[in-house]
Amino acid sequence: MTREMMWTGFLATLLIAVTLGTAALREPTRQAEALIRLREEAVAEGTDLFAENCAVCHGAAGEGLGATPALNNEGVRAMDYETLFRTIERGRYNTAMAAYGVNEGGIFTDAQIDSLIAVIQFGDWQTVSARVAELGLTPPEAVAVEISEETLASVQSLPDGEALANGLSLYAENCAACHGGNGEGTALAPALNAAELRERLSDGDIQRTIEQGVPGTLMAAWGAALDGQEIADLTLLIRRWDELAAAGVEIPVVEAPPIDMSPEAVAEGERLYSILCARCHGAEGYGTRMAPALNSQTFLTQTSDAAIQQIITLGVTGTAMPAWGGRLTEADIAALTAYLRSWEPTAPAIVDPSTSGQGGGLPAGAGPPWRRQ
Amino acid sequence: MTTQDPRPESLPQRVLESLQRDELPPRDDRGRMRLVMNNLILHLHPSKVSKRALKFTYTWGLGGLALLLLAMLVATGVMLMFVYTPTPEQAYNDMLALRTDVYFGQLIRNLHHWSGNLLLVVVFLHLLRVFYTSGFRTPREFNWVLGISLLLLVVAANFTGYLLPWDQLAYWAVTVGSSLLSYIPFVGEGLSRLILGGPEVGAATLTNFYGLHVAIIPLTLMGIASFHIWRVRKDTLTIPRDVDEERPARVEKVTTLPHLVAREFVFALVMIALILLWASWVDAPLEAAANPDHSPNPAKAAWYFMGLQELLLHFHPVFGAIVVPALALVGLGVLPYLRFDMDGEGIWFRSRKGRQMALVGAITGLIATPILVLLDEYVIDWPSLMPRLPTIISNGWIPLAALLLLLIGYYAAAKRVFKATACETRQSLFTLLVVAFVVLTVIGIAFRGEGMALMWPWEVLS
Amino acid sequence: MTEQKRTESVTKAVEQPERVSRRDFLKLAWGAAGTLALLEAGGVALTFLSPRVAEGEFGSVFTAGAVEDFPPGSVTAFNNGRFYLVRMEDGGFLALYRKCTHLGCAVPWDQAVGQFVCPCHGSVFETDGQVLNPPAPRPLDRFPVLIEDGQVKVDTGTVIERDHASPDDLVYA
Repeated sequence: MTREMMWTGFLATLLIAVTLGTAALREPTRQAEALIRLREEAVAEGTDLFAENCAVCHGAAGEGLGATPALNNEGVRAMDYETLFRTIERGRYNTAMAAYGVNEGGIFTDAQIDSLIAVIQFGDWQTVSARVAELGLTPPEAVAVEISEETLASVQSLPDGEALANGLSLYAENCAACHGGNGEGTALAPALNAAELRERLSDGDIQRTIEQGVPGTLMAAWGAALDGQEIADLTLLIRRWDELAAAGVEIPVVEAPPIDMSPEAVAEGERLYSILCARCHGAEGYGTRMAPALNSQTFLTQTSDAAIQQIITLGVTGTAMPAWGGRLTEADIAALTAYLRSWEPTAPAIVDPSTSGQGGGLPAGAGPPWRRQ
Repeated sequence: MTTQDPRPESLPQRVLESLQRDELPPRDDRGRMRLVMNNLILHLHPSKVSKRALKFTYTWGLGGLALLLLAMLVATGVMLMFVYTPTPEQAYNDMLALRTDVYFGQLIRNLHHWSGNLLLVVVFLHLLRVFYTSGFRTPREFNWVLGISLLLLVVAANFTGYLLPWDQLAYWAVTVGSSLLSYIPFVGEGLSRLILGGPEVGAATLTNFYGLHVAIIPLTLMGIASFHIWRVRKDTLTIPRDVDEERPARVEKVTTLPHLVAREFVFALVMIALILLWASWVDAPLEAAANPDHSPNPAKAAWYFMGLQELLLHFHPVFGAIVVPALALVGLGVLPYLRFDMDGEGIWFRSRKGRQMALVGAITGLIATPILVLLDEYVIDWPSLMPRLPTIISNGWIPLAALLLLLIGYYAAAKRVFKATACETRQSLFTLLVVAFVVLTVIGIAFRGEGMALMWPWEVLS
Repeated sequence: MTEQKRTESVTKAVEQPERVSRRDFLKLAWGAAGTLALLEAGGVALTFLSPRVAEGEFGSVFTAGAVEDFPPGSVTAFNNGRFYLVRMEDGGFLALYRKCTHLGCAVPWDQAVGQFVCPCHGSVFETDGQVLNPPAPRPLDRFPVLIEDGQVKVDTGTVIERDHASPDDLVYA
């Protein structure tokens, strides 16, 4: 072995020793950094998925809209991985939360659900909100029904006035559309301003009904959107409605205006439809696995303008159709109705619009071999 | 009268004596030769080698480097087997765990990944080296054929390993790569189904590829590689000489131990150090988890298949994927059996003229290939020129025939202009084709972006 | 005596050289048996390795839904079945395999342009699967469609390749 060879060999071995040693020293930091970087990548992917699929109901910053619960609070953040995963994968029974996992007929792979959980547990909701805006998917602002100052003042002058006034505001915002401006009831929901209701139901019954809803009807579980104090105030209002009537308090109910079918209205409806509805009902209203077709003769001829407006306002309990009344103005809903109505001349005939089962669930060949016939 | 036990008195000495058959360290050359003959690993070498063939710049140690890389791949591969499960549910998470939970997980993976890629480059260069120093002619023809089969096995090992991370890159590269198989006439569909374990890449594919990658291919590789090295020992290396030098009358030989072994040892250390350095700083890629419903844009096969994929963009798939590669393989396999003159053995590029012609071939390949690619991309649209013919003729047979005519024309012109021998002209043609293939690979990697449209490399990356 | 017998047997062998000796016949039979055994071993290995049929939905008959669920002019994606159910304007059904006929990528349906556009290498297909843009060498493959009791069924176990899309591929309710 020549001297050059010896030196080369020695230096090479030294280099190996130094490299391995440096790698060993760097290793703990490297692992920690890799974990953080992977988390950041997951959050980035989850943010995009959230913007495209979830912001429309849960809000651009996860703040919750209408009866859809907020995600940007400590309660959700602290939920365990399994609950979060199953909720996204399988949805929640009797709510508007659909099943999103691929194995349940949805669109998300396991890795994509994981990235959404990363957003919930590690994401910054301001960043999410900015990204939603960047993609042009910010849902319209919720609009509350105004109660005049004089009305509120006259309520506040009653005993427990603060609570009653609060309850009245909440009622106007969330309940008046179905239960009537004065609690007199409509075709959709019973009267709340009724003596026999006050006699029949205890405060606990009323509270529970508001909180948990009534499955099988349009009454949603408002416990997801209202806290205990708010529900207590509403209960108080229902209990003491006769006092309001005696004091002459009245909330005017805004009548649904006749549908404006001008091109501007239809265009506005088209814009709203593409942001809010297309994802579930299909870009042309032909339906997807999540929601039925609207662009059909059967649906459009059998459903009046008022009925369409009501369904949009109230949602459909037990399905994925949310109640938009808390977030859209009457003008918005009217525009949407106009857009849907504009389809009628060219809508294809369908006898019974219903969702078509498009897969999901365990593969037919799953399970042990001896199961097969 | 009992016979005496010839072994030394103490137990430790007896143990040591039982391990070594020869005297260590060997005292003289005979001792060294005997040691090489009697040692399991060393006896893949002959006991003496020609002194001239020791020159590093003759072989560049490429064959030995390939063997070293194989050993590193086996060592790192076995370690990775301890943390990896070949199912779609687990595989990707195991890859993530290598980065975040396993101590030195990233390092071992990087070593494995870069050794695997370097191996492909090294065996390709080794093939070129053997070609240009005429190391494939009698009596070494069969060893060349063994080498070609080793090349195919290395490509197969790379391809099967590519799927295992189960990320988007892996899933779609293998989908594209295995779709090439289905273009083989008659057996293509069946072969594709057999290898994939079904009609598409799925859980069965992962299991199949894993079995191939960790067991079948390595065992076959080691078997054929041993045979290959054995033949090198028996046939010996060709003797290098300068371009004008005559063949030496006597071949001077030196003992393998220490001359060859020392060089191999030092070279191995240097290469291990360099690869380790690279692997500890440059990470192997890992994209998002595989999503069978969502093909990426563009979907590219592994880099060593990009030449083939580029070819596919210009030819009908049967031609791009099957006919042209088959012709290339057959050409390579038949090469050592063609008639040669035995001059030029041991001289790089055979002669001065050979060197000039090789340079001309390289430059022609370098210039003609991009021109032909651009012509086919923007100017000539074979199918629309002959709309009534099926595409397999208008986009297959006809362009191939045109290309072959061009190559024959080049061969005839080069032979006449340089007044060269057949061997030298063949060498020039070989150089042209190799350079053309490399250019196609580079175009496929760096100049094809979204929708596989031609664009500048910086546009591809954005 | 033995000497005579030996000479006789040798004479016999010399006189009738075209008869196959026992030894030769045995060699031949052994070779044939060996070849048969090897072929059988090969067959065992290949059938052992051959892919098991039908992993779940894909490869079996898929019930897509009621005929009325699919409006004319609609394209519905079935990810589990790996196909698109296309209903033409005239009401005819066509089930297109979503695997690109070029190199196997999953071809998405582009609602905006009304075509199947493959992201991998730019192949474009019409709603009936006809190739509008290379490098795909043939139209999208299709699966047979059956309509039973008003339900649309797609047999994903049978892949039908075609040179050109034709109206004969459509199935009417």
